[in-house]
Amino acid sequence: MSSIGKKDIKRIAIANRGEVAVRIIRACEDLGLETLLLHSEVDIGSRAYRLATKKICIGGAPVSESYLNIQANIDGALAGGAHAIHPGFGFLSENADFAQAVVKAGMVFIGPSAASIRLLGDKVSCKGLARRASVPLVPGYEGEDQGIDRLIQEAKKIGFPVIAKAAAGGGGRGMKLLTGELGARELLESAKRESLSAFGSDKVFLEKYLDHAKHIEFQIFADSTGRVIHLGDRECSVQRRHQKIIEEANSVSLTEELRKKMGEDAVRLVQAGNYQGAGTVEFLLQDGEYYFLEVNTRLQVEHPVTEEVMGIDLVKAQILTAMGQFGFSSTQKYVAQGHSIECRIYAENPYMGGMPSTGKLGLVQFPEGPGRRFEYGFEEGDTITSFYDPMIAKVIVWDETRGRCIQKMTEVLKRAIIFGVMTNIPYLIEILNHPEFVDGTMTTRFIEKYFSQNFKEPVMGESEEELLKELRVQVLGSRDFNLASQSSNMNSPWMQSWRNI
Amino acid sequence: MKHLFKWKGEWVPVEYQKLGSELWIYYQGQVFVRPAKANIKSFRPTAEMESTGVILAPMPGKITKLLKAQGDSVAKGDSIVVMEAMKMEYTLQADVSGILEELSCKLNEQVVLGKSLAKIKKNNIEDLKKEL
Repeated sequence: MSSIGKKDIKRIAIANRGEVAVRIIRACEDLGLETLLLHSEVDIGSRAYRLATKKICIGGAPVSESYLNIQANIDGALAGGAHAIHPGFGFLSENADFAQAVVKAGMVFIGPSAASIRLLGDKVSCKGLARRASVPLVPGYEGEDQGIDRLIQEAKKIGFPVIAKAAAGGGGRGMKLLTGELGARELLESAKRESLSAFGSDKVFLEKYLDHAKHIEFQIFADSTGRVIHLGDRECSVQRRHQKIIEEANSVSLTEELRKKMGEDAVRLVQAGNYQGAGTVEFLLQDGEYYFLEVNTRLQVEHPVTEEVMGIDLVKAQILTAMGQFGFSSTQKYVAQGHSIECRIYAENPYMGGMPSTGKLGLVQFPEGPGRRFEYGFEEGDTITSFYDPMIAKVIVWDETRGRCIQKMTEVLKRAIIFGVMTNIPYLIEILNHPEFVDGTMTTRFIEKYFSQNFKEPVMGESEEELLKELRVQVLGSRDFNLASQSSNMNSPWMQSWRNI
Repeated sequence: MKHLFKWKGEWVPVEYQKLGSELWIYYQGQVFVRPAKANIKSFRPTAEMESTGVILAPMPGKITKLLKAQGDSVAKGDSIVVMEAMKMEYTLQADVSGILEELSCKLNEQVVLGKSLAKIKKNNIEDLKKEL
């Protein structure tokens, strides 16, 4: 099949959904490119669907029928006349077979080559590469013998606590922490099941669990000529069940010397992988020692904090690189300015251990302002289903200092309104203002340490409860003339008790 | 903020919306959910529903593993059912000790929010005495 020339990219297919699909659409808009959204049946009710130039339904709601179905995505992209495919993050973004299928179908895959994904994305082969590039590693087991007995034996050899991870995945799914031999079997079986269901492979590997480490990662970018640079670091230590909740750039935990050394290691590793486009090298940092964790051969959820401090657009750079143009100037020096924090908004009940909350969204309102950025995929009337990840939005702030960022984020979150599903906003506000977060010493066990108890619904003051009661009576239609009728909205009889601002 | 609500002589900024059987209210940085109709309590499982011996589906999802069978004796904290939703696995545990009286879900079944999945008959003092 004849291949599309890099310069001929006019329409980009998006093999993703939610806020990242919107993010990609925005970058395409900047470049004057058309977009083709490859969506599942239920995602007709989403912001990306409304914003994309063209859209094609590629299958049913379950991810195996749509977002994880390689053939359906390829067929959809070809039918819609796309010249390139952007995979976003999650789903097929780190699937080498998909990258290969895209190229085979005559389109451009926006990301590294299939060979590069195989080499760097497979955690096992990547560790071999890291070892050869003299990047420090965490002790572990990554053998082919995947029998539960063997895994337990290896875990004992490494020494508990040990963490089991999906060899093919990321994002916390399929990850389990084994604290001792007791219960290890059940946890390993569970890790294998989750891994199989999320990534199509039940291969897991084990590694020593560092119990007071920080999660530090470096944003990497390789342009079409093979030049690799890093665009600074991020800290993502605030994690629950190995899923990041709050991320920031830069980390307050790195000395300039450490930052330089880790950045150089990250670049060296990615260079060895013959890379192209955006990627992330993740490390754990404990007691001044750092250990290589993994490479994510794609855009990260938390890429906006890097964009904010660096003043760049990573998604645009990815697309330009795929077009054979430069993503970043080779003469400009990219230096972080100020600080940036991102909070992930999850549709969940914070008072019930983060149980997913599904339903139709009501009002969705974010308080715009300088240094505030809102990445969201759903608006009023859209439905949050249980088929997909519960992350429904991201809030990103930038300010001169970390302290000002924390304050700004707290105030922004307090003024963000989401009706229809419960969100983790109250939980985020609590975390942001925890003394350990404020002083920046939090480790990856921060949530487990301070927020393992059920997060309690705040007790309301008497007058607050009284106000809510009264408000409810008013809204539900019982007339009361002690309220001024200054409303301009006459659609609803009780709106007369209200004043629009 | 779209609305001001007169409360004790002051205009207080609030936001509200009636969604189905629920009234959603935003006030001073917090979101509150109240039943929209008097006398009808909307179904939202709460912490108080625990320790009844009944395991309810905390979310819509798929049953991926049944770890106990009907008639088994179970201890508080034992894992009974594993379910999957939003690509995460949730292990549902017994909140009381007793006998698994009823297991009302099947492997691979798609269950709705709030469905009763298992019932555990609590051990009472009498039973414990008999066992001794």
